[in-house]
Amino acid sequence: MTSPAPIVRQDSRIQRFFLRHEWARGYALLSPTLAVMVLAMCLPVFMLAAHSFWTQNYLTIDETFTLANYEQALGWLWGAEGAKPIYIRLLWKSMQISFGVTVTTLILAYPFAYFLAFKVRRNKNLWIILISVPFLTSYLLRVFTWKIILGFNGVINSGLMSLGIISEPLEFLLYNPTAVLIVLAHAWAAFAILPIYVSLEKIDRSLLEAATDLGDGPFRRFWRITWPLSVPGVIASGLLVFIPTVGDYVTPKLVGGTEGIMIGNIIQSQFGKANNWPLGSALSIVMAIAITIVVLIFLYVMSLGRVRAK
Amino acid sequence: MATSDAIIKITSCSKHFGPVRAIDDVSFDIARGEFFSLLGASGCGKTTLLRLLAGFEQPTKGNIFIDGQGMAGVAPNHRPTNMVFQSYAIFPHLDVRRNIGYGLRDAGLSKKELDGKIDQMLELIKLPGFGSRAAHQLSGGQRQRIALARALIKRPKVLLLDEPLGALDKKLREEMQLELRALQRNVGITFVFVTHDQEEALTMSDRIAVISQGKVLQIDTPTSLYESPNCKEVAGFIGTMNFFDGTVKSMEEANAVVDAGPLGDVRTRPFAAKLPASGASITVAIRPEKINLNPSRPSASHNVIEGRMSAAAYLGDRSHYYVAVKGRNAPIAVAAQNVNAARSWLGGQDQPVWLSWREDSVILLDR
Amino acid sequence: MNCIKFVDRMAQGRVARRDMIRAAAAFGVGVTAMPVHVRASDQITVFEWSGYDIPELMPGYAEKHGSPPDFAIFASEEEAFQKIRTGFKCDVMHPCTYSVYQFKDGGMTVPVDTSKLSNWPNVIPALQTAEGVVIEGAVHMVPTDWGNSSVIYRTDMVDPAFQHDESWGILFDETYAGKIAPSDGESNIEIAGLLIGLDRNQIFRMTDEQLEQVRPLLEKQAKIARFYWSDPSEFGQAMAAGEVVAAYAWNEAVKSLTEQGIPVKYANPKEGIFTWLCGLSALNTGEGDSAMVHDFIDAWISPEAGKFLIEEYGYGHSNKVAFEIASPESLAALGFSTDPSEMLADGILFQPLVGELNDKYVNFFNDIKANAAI
Repeated sequence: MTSPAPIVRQDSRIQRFFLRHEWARGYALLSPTLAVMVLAMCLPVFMLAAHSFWTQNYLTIDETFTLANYEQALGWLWGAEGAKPIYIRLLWKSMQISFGVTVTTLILAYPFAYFLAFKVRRNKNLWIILISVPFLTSYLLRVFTWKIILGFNGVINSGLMSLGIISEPLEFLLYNPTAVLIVLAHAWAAFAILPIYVSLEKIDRSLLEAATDLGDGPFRRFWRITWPLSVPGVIASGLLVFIPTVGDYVTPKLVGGTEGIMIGNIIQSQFGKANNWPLGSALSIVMAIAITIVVLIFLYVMSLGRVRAK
Repeated sequence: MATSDAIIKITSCSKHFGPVRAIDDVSFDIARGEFFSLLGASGCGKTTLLRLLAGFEQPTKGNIFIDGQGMAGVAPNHRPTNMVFQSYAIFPHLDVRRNIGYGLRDAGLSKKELDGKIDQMLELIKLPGFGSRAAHQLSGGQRQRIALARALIKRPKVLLLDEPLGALDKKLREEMQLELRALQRNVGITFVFVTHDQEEALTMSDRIAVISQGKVLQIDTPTSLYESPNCKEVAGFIGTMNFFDGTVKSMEEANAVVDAGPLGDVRTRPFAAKLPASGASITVAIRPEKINLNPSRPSASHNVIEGRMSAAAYLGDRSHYYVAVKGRNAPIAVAAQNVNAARSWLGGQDQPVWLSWREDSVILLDR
Repeated sequence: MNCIKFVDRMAQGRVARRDMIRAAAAFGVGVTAMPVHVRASDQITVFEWSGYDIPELMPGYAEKHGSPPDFAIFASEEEAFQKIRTGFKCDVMHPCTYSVYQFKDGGMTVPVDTSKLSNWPNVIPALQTAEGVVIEGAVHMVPTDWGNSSVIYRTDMVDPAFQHDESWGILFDETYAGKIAPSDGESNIEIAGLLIGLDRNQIFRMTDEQLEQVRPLLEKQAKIARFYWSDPSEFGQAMAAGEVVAAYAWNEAVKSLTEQGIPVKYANPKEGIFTWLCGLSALNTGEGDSAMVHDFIDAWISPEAGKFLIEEYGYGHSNKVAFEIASPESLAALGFSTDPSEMLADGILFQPLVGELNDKYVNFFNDIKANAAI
């Protein structure tokens, strides 16, 4: 070094700008995420919305604004001519299945999360990794595993038959809405476990001791302290399971049989075989809005319930 | 204290966590209506002892009796005790009323009776009108009072308090100490109070158990603990103490003369504790505030020593001085009330001073 | 090193705008140049059904061009169509007579110059001029493989009388409720059309009234079907287990199930057996070389490829010489004669459902499925 290093380095103009404006730093940090969000989320949704107001003309799309797709999807509600009830009824049925999946998943996930939060002392991380191990395999593979378990010559049937409990394979195990429910509940269990686990883990243990100290036995303590404090996690898990399962189409296609079809299968068909993207788009948006409404009603009812508890 | 009136009897109780003996063969009684403190440094086992009383831990050995009833196998929710937690453990999803009334769900009270009791409690803790506040709207002091009310409303035979004032700032803590003491007298419930703050323990307690490494060192009233500690550890833990190693030279009518090295011969008045044999190695202990600071040699023939001022700290109401004495590394601590204006004759560093103390100010402890 | 320096300079605001643009341009050039470097060779891209991406079906091609083509796999023509339509680049695709129109109408296919195909003269004459092969006077799909669609059934689990009176009706028969597996497709509508007495042409262009006539049949089928299959392995496993006794199937299923020792028979329904014909279309959506595309197609219609297809897959091939060199046993097992023309003439060739007709059939079948589910 020939010249002495300056004691205080003069910041460049860009550095000074970022130094002065906190918002600029925030956005600069966020910008990659923001860019991905805009490209990967907003744009497709915008395209979907645009398509839903257009018309498919065999291989071309007529971009004249129309509400015909929505009339086709929803018209049955107000008795529009030629509108069929199937979309609405299928959507309703899909929601019922998803609701069933959500409840089943939560019932399965809660005890597991409870065990993890309160009973596992050592190697919690190992347990959490173990939960996610099934997710290292593809979803299709897991569905096929369930086909092997529930199938005609599957694990359950051959087990029951070799025990002599049944003489003919049980046919109601596979290819119906119940099978869809079982497979989906299993698939989403880990997603449900984690938020519940986090909310349970967060509970200050001295609250539980205080409840015991004030006279509660284990069950009453659970209902008065543990459960209400874990409700936010349960709600998060429920939404995490309910929202994506309504539109699922792989599971019903593979294990749903002829009765297990859901709205996702019809939407998928519109984007595939039926080659009617606009109707498919309209159905997707109707589904998204319907889910949003259900979720909002649910959250509203929950908040009412909490206000009343006070 | 008469053992017949003991509400808590702890008989050779031990609690082991693996190889660690958190509580090591402890036995003592706590009298009905007493304000009893467990005092010790953190990790000494005092909280474990409290949790044994509450039932959150079961003793490895020994027994605990509360009001004559053995507590082995009795769950916390079936014990006649209630606890105020260090973190207060206010239920975050319940408002103040529900927090306070939490433990009375099974008491078979009508809504009106319950409301009356809760209102009474709110009065008692001086928070009337706070009933509908949410938990997150409360300050630390308010939380502490609500935790107290929540436990007291159950009318426990024993109230257990786990460092309940630790999280409060100094001024609020001192206020609460007095309030808590007054409250205890008012409700007449036995309080078992865990603290690491000796001043707090001295201020509030009827009796204090000093605990170290799972053992009880001394159980006594605050005055006795301070004035006649039974070992070096207690003497050091409570207040400040000057220690000198010495050898007993002679015993004259139960007055000892101890050769305390740099201090020269130290004479003591007779006291109740057992007297050391002549020639025994012992520790001489003198509290800083019992040492007088003189500008010139006082007339007394013994218990006088010359030194040089090495440091002084002015604390307003009193001053602390550190006096270096020939032949001793550590300076001797002296505390003096600033009754008059600051001592004008104390010029500063290295000024020669004379220290003196009365014969009855000396405590003799086993080395 | 350079990179770090540049970032440093940029952070300190010492990069001139011209430098920035030059750097960005260099990066841009790098990005567009990358795929060229990554691609090992300038191979053509072939969009194929799964299982058809093996060298035995294109003998000689890899030897001539150094490596097999790049393959991409699709599961249904609709999926392939949507993928190409949204920008997937490929040079060759494998449609069938009923689906090729979509690609042609979408402006994706280019006519094949048959004079460049050495094996073209040996292609069965009826196939050279079949509808779907020739569109508007040009060959838009070189026929390669063909076969049947019919009912496969377990001879040990179906009423023996059925063997003497084979009919598509078994796929709509309550006697076998919960034990039949139709395919997940509009062919069910066409089959139901045959059952109500429509002729082999009418079933591919049914009127709304005719659709309403077959509705009860299809609704019944939706109730009694175990499932609609979308992959042959689904009904294959179910038939082997005895879960399903009759299914809609292609020839190949007979071969694989018989090899497993399952007693099955491929029906020749009295209402008629379906024939499908698929082939290779050259597309304009790729970047490959046209001569290589022709070489690839020529290799596919060679007799050796045909022999392999007949013996190993159990499908018919478009090259008549293939039937002469294929082992007689495998031909017999499949019910093929050495002259496939007759069989081709008897079968009901699938006709394309174009445009509105496709929508109508698809939505009608969706309706049936949805109603069964609700």
